[in-house]
Amino acid sequence: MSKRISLADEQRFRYLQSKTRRHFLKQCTTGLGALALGGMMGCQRSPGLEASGQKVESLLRQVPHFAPKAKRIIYLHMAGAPSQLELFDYKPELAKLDGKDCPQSLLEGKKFAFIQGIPKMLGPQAVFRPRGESGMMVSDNLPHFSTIVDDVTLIKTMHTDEFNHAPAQLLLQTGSPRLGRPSMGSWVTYGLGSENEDLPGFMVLVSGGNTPDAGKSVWGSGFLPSVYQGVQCRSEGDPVLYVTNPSGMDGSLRKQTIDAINRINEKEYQEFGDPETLTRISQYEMAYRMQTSVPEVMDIKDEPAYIHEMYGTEPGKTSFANNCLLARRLIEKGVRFVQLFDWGWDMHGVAERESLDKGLTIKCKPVDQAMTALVKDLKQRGLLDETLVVWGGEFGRTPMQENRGGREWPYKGRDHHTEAFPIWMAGGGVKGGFTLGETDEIGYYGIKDKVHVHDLQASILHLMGMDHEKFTYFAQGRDFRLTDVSGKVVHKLFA
Amino acid sequence: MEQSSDIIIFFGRFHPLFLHLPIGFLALGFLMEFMSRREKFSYLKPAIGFVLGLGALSALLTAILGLMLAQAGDYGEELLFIHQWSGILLVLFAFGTWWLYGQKEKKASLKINRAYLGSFSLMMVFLAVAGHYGGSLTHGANYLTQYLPNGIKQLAGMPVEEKGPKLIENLDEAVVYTDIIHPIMEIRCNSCHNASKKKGDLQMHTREALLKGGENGPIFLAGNATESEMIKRIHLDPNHDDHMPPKGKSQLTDEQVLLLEWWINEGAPFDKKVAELKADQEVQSVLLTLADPNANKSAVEILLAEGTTAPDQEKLRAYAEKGISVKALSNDSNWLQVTLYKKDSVDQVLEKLAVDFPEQITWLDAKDTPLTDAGLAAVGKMKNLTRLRVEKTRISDAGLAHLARLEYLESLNLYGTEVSDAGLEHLAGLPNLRRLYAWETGISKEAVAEFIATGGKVDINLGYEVNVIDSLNVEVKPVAVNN
Repeated sequence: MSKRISLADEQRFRYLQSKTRRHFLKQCTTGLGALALGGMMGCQRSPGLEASGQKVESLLRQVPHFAPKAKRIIYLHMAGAPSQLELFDYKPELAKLDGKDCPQSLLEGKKFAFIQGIPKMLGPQAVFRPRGESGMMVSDNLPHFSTIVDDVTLIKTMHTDEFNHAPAQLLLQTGSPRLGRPSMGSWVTYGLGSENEDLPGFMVLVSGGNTPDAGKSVWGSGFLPSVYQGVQCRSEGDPVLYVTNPSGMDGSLRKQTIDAINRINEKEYQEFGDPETLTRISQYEMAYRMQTSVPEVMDIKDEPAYIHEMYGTEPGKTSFANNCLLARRLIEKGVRFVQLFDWGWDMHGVAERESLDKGLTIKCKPVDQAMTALVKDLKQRGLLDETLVVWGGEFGRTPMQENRGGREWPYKGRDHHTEAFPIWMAGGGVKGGFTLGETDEIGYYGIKDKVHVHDLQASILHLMGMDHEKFTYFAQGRDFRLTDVSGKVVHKLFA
Repeated sequence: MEQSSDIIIFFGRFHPLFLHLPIGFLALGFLMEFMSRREKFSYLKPAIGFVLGLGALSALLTAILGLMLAQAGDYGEELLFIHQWSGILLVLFAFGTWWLYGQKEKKASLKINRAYLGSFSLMMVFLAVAGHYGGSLTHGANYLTQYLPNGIKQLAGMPVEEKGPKLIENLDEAVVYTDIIHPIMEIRCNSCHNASKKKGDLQMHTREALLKGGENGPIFLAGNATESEMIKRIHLDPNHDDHMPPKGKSQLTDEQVLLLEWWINEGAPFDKKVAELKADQEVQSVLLTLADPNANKSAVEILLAEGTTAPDQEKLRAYAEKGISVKALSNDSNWLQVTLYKKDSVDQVLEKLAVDFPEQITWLDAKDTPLTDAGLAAVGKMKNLTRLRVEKTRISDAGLAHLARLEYLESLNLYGTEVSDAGLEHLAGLPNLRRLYAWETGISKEAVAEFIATGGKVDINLGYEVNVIDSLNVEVKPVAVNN
């Protein structure tokens, strides 16, 4: 049997066959002159291009600015913005104001997404209790979380600049409310590389029925080489679309195909020097390795029953719980940044599903169990020390009841609020049982230790061993960084 | 009244801008006068009058602006007096010199020539004096000499300052104001609020001055830091006009702010000792660092901060070529972190690593590999190892004996191995062990309890019991109720 000749070789063979000396002389008259001129004028491929388009292997050797506290991150983003007043920010004074008109002073100069005219104040729709040795106040919506408060740092005084979901999510995840910047996960994998050659360094899992309002840009790579963008995995069907071989194609044929494509791409790169070609080559190689590595890591059926019970997972379904378990499995394999988005926290009170007294409680139940299981499971495996877990939404919610359309709604809901919202973190070098910041009596403004979104980003990069002011990428004529032109590392968070 | 004084100060602030004109013009005139005496430069002579004229007029303008700036009252009287009068004399002599130049050109006489040169020289003296004291007013009296090498300072008989903050020897006996608060103000506040310069009519260099406060009254309220003007301004947004220290100047650290707040909250005493004031845990830990910067750091943190010798780059490259992950822990140190994978022949690699980098390897991750006790013997030679991950490997109790001399080992992950209570005993002597992961091993709860009872400061994790709570059955009331 004759040896199978690859597409690339065949194409080259035919090409050479068709070329004669006459062709060369005819076609190359201007080409030779231009080549000579280019050489004389010192036109060579700019050296910077290669540096930014490194192959995956070389990414394994990137080193942080200073000794890191955390090596990996799991970011649990609750898209829609959970209400701090029903979860973490205990405000007995607000209960006394329940049903009263909101004072004008809180409304002046403010923009709200839906509130019109003068809304009524809305007391907390949950019972709070002090939990753990630290006595952190947590609502009964989070009974599981209440058992790990002593491993957690809670920031009550986050604040942001954007009061609509998409720009606020972009600001939180990319440092800018507009499209086009690399996400936090892209920055981190660009800076530190991957610890596993067979899996992408930045993986994304989505639950709750919808992708976040800002779309896939919240895990995009912006102007960084696209090898650093988040790779979304599904927990139902093929984890990554088309990761399995089509019927009739075996692994070796697939390998040959990819080799052929890569050889063509390498020629392309030699000719044009576009770093995106290198990205493409390494993506093909990665995709081939992922054919075995991804199904293996994404198959949670081999987990023991007690782990499923702990997380509340059901194999084969799409759920936040499944994603939490997958996050742990990915982190165990050395994935640098795992980003979870869970949709459906936008409790405006226009339907029962969006109500604070019913919808939120139902929404919390599986999430509370799974996020707590994740922290405990990471801890018992000794991974929590090296893994930073971050949980939170893109903004907070108003202490006023939403009155969309100027009317009263039968359900209790709150509007978007930028001035104060909570985020909790665990592991990866942050304190345990620690609360940073205080809000005023109704949870409207932070009054002590305010933390801006850029401060959070600066602090997360700091934990990963990176100086957010030095960690830049040259694009569009200037250096860019995750924290734009501000951001201050909040040292109080660190153990 | 308020309006007019504002506009005066507005113009006054152009003083620092204009003052460089007369300095330049008059110094140029002086240079031209002497250069023009040589044949080669004699063509300069006719221009001297013009330069002197410019110098005198700009000196007059500068002096007027200076008097306006003095209205702000931000400056110490003593230095200001010298600066002001030497400046005024400078203006008079500048005009005098200019006038004499004109006389000299009209009819040359020895007398006029002498007067001219005398006036010119005196003018230059006043220029130097006014310039120097002006600089002292703006930048502080020791601005010029601050970074003079200590050796020269000694020769000149000037006081030699210690580099860096002075450590307190006996913390309890230290006087809070003199030894802690005053030094903070000295480095962060006094460059603008001192004997010679009093921005906002505030001086902070003495106890009396602090108590007196500034143009807006007292700067602190003894016993209440949050209501104290000084503390309020420290906490303002750094871009706010009233933020202190102003944007661009070195800022106070969180610890320094904490100490200032503590001192004010404790009644802002000037003579009390540290032991006489109440200090909560947070303040206490900051206070400890004043006596020993490493007070709150663990032995491991101190070790890592101290650093180690540089690893052999040639050998590092050899490992990289073989595809073994030996990486720098960070760009600013020589520490190494090693991650081994299933594919590596772990025991042999570790033996080589222990020979090549016995001091540099501080993090070692050999999880889920075919590592055995033989490999652990090599690990035991990496004397600065602080984190060791050997979970899900084939190590046994006997292997743990090799780790007994790793005095900086802080975190050890044994989860999913065969080790048992017998192995735990080998770890009893590790002085810095703080975290031990022993889930799914043979180590029992009883052995852990005993291990901790014998004085180990270690946190041992044996895993969690599954405990699912049904949150929907927890009663939720419409209004918050405290338990």
